[in-house]
This record gives sequence, structure tokens and C-alpha cells, in this order.
Amino acid sequence: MLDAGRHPKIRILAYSEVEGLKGRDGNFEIKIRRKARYVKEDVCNACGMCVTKCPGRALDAFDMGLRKRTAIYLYFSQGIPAVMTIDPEHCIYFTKGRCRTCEKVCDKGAIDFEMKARVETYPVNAVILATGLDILDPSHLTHYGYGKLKNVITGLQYERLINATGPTGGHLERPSDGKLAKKVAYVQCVGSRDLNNCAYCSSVCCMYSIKDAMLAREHDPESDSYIFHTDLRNVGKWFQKYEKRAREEYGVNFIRGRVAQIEEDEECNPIVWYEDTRLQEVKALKVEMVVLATAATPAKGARGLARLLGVRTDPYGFIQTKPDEPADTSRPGIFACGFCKGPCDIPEAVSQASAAAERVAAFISQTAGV
Amino acid sequence: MSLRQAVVRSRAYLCLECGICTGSCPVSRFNAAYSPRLTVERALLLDEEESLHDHEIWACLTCGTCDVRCPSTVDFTGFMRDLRERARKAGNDGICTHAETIEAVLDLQLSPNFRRSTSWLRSLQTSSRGKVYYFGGCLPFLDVIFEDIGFEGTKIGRSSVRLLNALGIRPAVSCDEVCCGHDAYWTGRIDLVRTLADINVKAIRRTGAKQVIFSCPECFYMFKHIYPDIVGDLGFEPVYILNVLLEAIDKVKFKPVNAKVTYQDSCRLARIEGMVTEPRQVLQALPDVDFVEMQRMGKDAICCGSSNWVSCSRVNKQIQIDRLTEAASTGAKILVTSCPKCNIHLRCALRDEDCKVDIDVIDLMVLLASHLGGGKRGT
Amino acid sequence: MENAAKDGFCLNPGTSVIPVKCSGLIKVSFLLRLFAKGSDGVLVLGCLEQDCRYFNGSIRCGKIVDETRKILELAGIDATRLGFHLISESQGREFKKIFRRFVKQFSKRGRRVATSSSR
Repeated sequence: MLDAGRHPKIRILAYSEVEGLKGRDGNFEIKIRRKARYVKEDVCNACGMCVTKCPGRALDAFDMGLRKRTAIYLYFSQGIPAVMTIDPEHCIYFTKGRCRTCEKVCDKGAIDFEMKARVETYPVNAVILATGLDILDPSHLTHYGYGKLKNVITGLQYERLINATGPTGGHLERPSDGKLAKKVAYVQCVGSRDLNNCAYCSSVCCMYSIKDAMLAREHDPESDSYIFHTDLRNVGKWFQKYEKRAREEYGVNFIRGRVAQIEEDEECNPIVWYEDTRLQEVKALKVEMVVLATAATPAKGARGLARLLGVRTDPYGFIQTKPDEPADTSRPGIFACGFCKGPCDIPEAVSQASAAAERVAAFISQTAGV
Repeated sequence: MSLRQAVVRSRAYLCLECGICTGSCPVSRFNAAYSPRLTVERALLLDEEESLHDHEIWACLTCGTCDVRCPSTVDFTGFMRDLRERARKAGNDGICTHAETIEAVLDLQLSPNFRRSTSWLRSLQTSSRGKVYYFGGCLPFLDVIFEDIGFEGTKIGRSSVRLLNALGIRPAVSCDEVCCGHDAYWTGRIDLVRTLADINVKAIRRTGAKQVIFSCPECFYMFKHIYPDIVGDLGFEPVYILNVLLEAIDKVKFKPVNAKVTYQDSCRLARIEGMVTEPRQVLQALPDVDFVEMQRMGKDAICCGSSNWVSCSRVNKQIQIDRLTEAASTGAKILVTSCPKCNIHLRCALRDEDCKVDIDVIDLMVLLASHLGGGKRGT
Repeated sequence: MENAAKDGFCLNPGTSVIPVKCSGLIKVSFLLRLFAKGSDGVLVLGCLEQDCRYFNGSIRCGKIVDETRKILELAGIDATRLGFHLISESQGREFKKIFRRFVKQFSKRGRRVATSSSR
């Protein structure tokens, strides 16, 4: 991402939305709404002075709501471009009419409360969709108790908890009481491979859960990790070896059986009910925290964007691509790569991106005669 | 119906063997010999002999928890029903509980010239014809059978009619009404269900009703989901009483309850109809009611532990005591039920020597009717 | 009944006798099914309470009959169609009286009367 940010021939229009696409056969005009971030992108250097003084607060979406951020914020520290954004819904000036503290402390003069969203059009020869994924909100799977039981969190929340730059500085402090979670259950297939929810395998959960379980053991060798899985679908090169390592070197416990229900005791310890299908026994396991490997879905806006661009999606909102040209969508000149066209992991997404770039090059040379 | 057909009809071939059914099953928690997953697997191997002669097929409560959670949408309870139909023919009958009295009542209802008494509804406003019909089902009969545990089926029926009267509805009732056939259906006696459906639908049509109100979730389920398959267009609309009450709840005044109450979801209402908020809305419309929720509620509620009158063993008692303990742990003094069967089974378990729980089990209709402000005396 | 027979008593045609080991063994379902099969009336006869070999057989039977009668009423069948009497083996004349009186209720219909007896 840093490479792309620095590249002289790549222009990143962050904090923007596509509003429309006109034209055909490599002669498109794309309309892009550049939302007002109330901070001048070319002036701000993300020094962070405003953040230290901003009185507004909102849940931090990047930290999966595990902590609060200020109303003026940097979405995440490695983001490109590294500039602040004011969230008008939580900014004291925008909601109550006075404050403007950030404006006062910014010695660069980067704050601009008068900034308006503007629509720009660009002539383009091709479009690549790479809108990525969102995760399924598992609240409606009431038997897992997400949203009701405090110590049941999603894989992405866990990712933030165990991350050194995360809200707990990388300590596995569980949400209910901040106690370090020593016994953690990782529940696979939450909404995935489920005909009532996402009837496909999200494909990344088995591997990231193994990684998560190993990380927990690395942080605290005394801890216990349990992975509850339907079938382990670690199908990539060396993936199985990774699982073997988790079992042998890290002592991660693997239990075959989809978790049926999660209950809670008086101390908010989740109790996981499941059938160990190998032993054919129904059991309950008391743990200190549960991590749900929730199904990955196409990004929330992907379906709308696809409609805007006139490309077909499947019933789940994944962009449809051609079987023989997996980067080509239903509309010539528009290509797709990564999770927006179907579940895939990072290495696969990277190779798909290269493929899409190559298809674009070929397309342009054919249509524009370069 | 062959075993193969049962597998196809229930889509059991989609089974992932993930074990969520067995893990969710209230019976499997206490009875290691019973496992929905293994039942399906055995059937998938088309092992007729073992599938049909397994006594554990009568252990299934048909509560539908496995159906709701199954990622492959296998209709396990439907599969069980088909299997039971076949097992019955192969000579594997379930044990009929309560000394077969309930079965015999059914036989009586099927005897020629059967005309039930409606005297149990006296002093309430009913008619023999009308647009709205009230289906009481087996309630008064159950009253006699479960007198020893203090179950008051008649009171549930009377309370329902009282509430309807309070809303200005004077429901029609009929002497020709018979059992809805719910238990016959789930124990695989489809011919019997056909006969009963025929009698009931004809009896109701004769009253000229366009809407039939049910206070029993099981009867409602049968009329809404099963009867149309058997008799085609019913000619009237089955409605659950809660929906009728909710529409006009503002018109009725209730006396304060002054108690902590919790609610036992009915399998048919919560899991099949998705009626989770309605009973809670009605309960919370009562003044001064301190409503608390059990951990396992709504679609995750635990079945009252016994159904279809085919199993009543130590396992069933354990399920019931477990549920009652959960209800009491909320601090509630009253456990409200909407299914008469829940009421019977939980009341019965309260008297078990292993049950150390003190809680009142009261039907929702009875609770509502007994708190009607002003008007007539209690039923 | 044998004592009554010595007296020259014979059962009405259409009466069936169902001997049971003890009236306490009779179940509600059993009685209900007799009605379901079309009996006009069922007369249950048991031993005197103090004669019961199993201490509470006759008492139990009384409860069963009460329960059955309630169900019969609800099913629209007159509860008097279920007769219940406790008599001793030696009371042949008494039996005759009870039986005649019971059957008389249904004489106009002239249909079958089932009798259940513990001897």
C-alpha cells in the first residue's frame, strides 16, 4: 500500500465514493464523490496534535468498537494517505455549534470546517473492483450469544485485542472485567457453510483461528486454546504443516464439532456446549473468552456499487466473474479481484490483483490501441 | 414411505456431520444413547433394521432446536416423524404415557355420534355460529387427567374466552370439535390426522367462522401448517390468540401483578412461528410486572422436556428440573407458559423429589384473565 | 355372579362380562375405550374395600371411575352410564338388584351392556 501511495503514476482518492460510470469499451467517465473530511489532504501531516485536544468521542470502527476515538481521527496508523478526518456526526462543532479546538491547535492550518463534498469526473479506460469484505454480524445467531454475552467476541475484535497497537496493547483482556483470558475457545463456521446464512466457506477462518490460537499461547504459555471446527479447511501450500505445528509445538486443542450453544455463568465465563463428534459425546466447556470466526461477506456497499457500475453479482453480493477469465466481470472494461468476487486469502488476493492489472493492460491495448 | 424417501424428503443427505444438532438437543444433554446426528447417519447408511427398531426414536421431543440451527437445513423433526410412521408399522410403538388415557380420549372422540360438552364454558359468552371461532382442543380433558398436579386446562380455555369477551368478541364453539391430532402427527399416524382434520374443518365450517382463534400453540400449528396440506383450503384463517389480544390490548385494563415473572417459550410458537416478542409484549402490558428473561429464551429456549405423550423418563424429568432451576435462578416467582403441555410438564416436575425449586407455573391466558380489571369475578 | 346364577339369574342378551384380576387394575383408558367401541353403559363391580386383597384396589378403582366419569361428561356422555358398585362375593341377590337397575336405564334402547367384574 505504501508503494502505491508513493508511486508517481498512482493517485489515491481516499474517502471517496463512486457515483456513476458513463461510456463503454474503454472510454469511461467515472463520477466520484469526494466526501468532505474537513481537513486539507495536502496540508495535514498527521502530527496528531488535534487528536490530543479533541473533546468529541465515538466508537473506533477500526478497533471494532473496543475503544473510543476522538471526533477528529486517523482511521488507522498505516492508512494512506496519512491525514486526519473529522467525523461530523460526533464533532462538537458540527453537532453543538462551537468548539473548533482542532483548528486552534493545528499549526499547519489544515482544518477547514467550510469544506464541501464535491463530485469529480475522471476519464478512465478501465475499472478494477477491489472492495474487499465485511464480516457477518452474528447477533442474529442467538445461540452464540454475541452481543448479549460480554466475553463472546468476533475474530476481528480478537485481532485488535491481541495487536500491540490495539486497545489493550496486545493483552488479552476480556471485555467483561478486563481479566486476562487464559482459556479461549475459537468457534469456526459462525454463519459460514450455513444454508440459512452464508452458504459458502469463508475460506480464511480456519487459518486465522489457528494463528489466533497460536498467538494466545505465545503471549501466555499457561493459556489454553480450543478450536471447535466442522472440518479444518486448511487447503493451501504448507497450511497443513501449520496446523501440525499448532498441535505439536503450541499444544492447541482441536475439537471436531460445531458449537451448539454458548451460555454464561455468574462470572461471565462463557460455557460452550457442543458435541465432540469424534467421541460422540455432548459436552460443556467453561472458558474465559470465546472468539467467533464469523462468516466473511462482500463489503456492505459492494452490491450498490455493482448496480451503479452495471456488473452482475451473485445472490450473496459477490461480483460475478467469467469462469475462463476470472478477473473479468460481466461488463467489458470492468475487472475485479480479491474478496469482492469470492472468498480468498491474502496471497490469493495479491495474485488476483496482478491478474486484474494484466487484464487491464491487455484491455487498454486492445481498445485504445496503445 | 421408505427410509430412502425419508432421507430425501428431509434433505438428510446434506448432513455435514457437524454435530450442532446433537449439541443442541435437550435430550442428548442427559441421554447419551440418543443423538440426532447418529440417527441421521444410521439412516444415511440405509440400515433399515437398526433405524426402525431403535427405541430411542421415541426420545425425540420434536422441539425443533436442531432444525433451527442445522446449517444444512435438514428437517430433522420431519425425518423423525417419517421414521416413526414406518417404525410403527414395523412394530416399534412408543410407550404411551399416562396409562394411555390420552389415547383413549382420542378413541372416544372418534367414536360415532361423539358430541363433546361445552358446559365447561358456561357463564361465558359463546355462540354456536359466528365469524370468529374458538378452538379449545383437549384442554378440558387434560384437566381431568392432570388434576393431581393442579393443572387447570379448563381455566386456560375459560380465561381465553373471557379475554375474548373482554375485547367484545363472542366466539362460536362447537360440540363436534375433536382433538387437533398434533401428537398423532408427530408420532407418525398420518391417517388418524386426516380423519381428525376432516372432522374439525367440517365442524368449524358449519359455524360459518372465517377466523379461528387458538390458545394452544400445538393446535394452532396443526391448523396453520398441516391441515392445509390435508384438506386444502380451510375456508377460514387460523389466528393465535396473542395476536388478537395485541391488536386491542389498549382497550383492556389490567390490575397490577406486583411480581417478578419469566416466560417459557413454546416450541411451536417461538421456533416455528417465530413468535418471540408477542408474548413478551403482552406480558409487559400488565401493570407492575417485573419481567425477567431466562438465558435460554426465544428460539434457544429449552423444551419443557416431554412431548407427544411418548416419553416420560428420568431424562425428561432432568430436562424439566434443569429448566425450572434456570427459571428460578432469574429470581422470578412466576413462570408463565403459553403451551398447556409446558404447563403440565413443568408443574409435574415441580413435585419431583429432586426438584428444589419454588416457582409458580401459570398459563399466560390465566395470568391475563385473572388480572382483568373490573368486570366479572374470576373463572 | 355365580351366586346370582344359582338363583336363576341370567344376564341380558348383549351383555359381555370382562373378568379382571382386581378392579384396581382397571385403567381409565380401558373404560373409555369400552365406550368408544359403542357400549351403552359399563358397570364396574369390585370387592368391598375391607375385603381387598391388595389393600387399596377398590379405593383405586373408585378414583379411576370418578376420573372416567368426568371425562365422559366432557365427551357428552352421561356419567350415569358408568356404574360402580363394591359388593361381596356372597351378595348374589344384591348383584341381581344392581344389575337390573343399571340395565333398566338403557332398556328402551335395548343395546349391549358391558359388565366389568372382579370375579
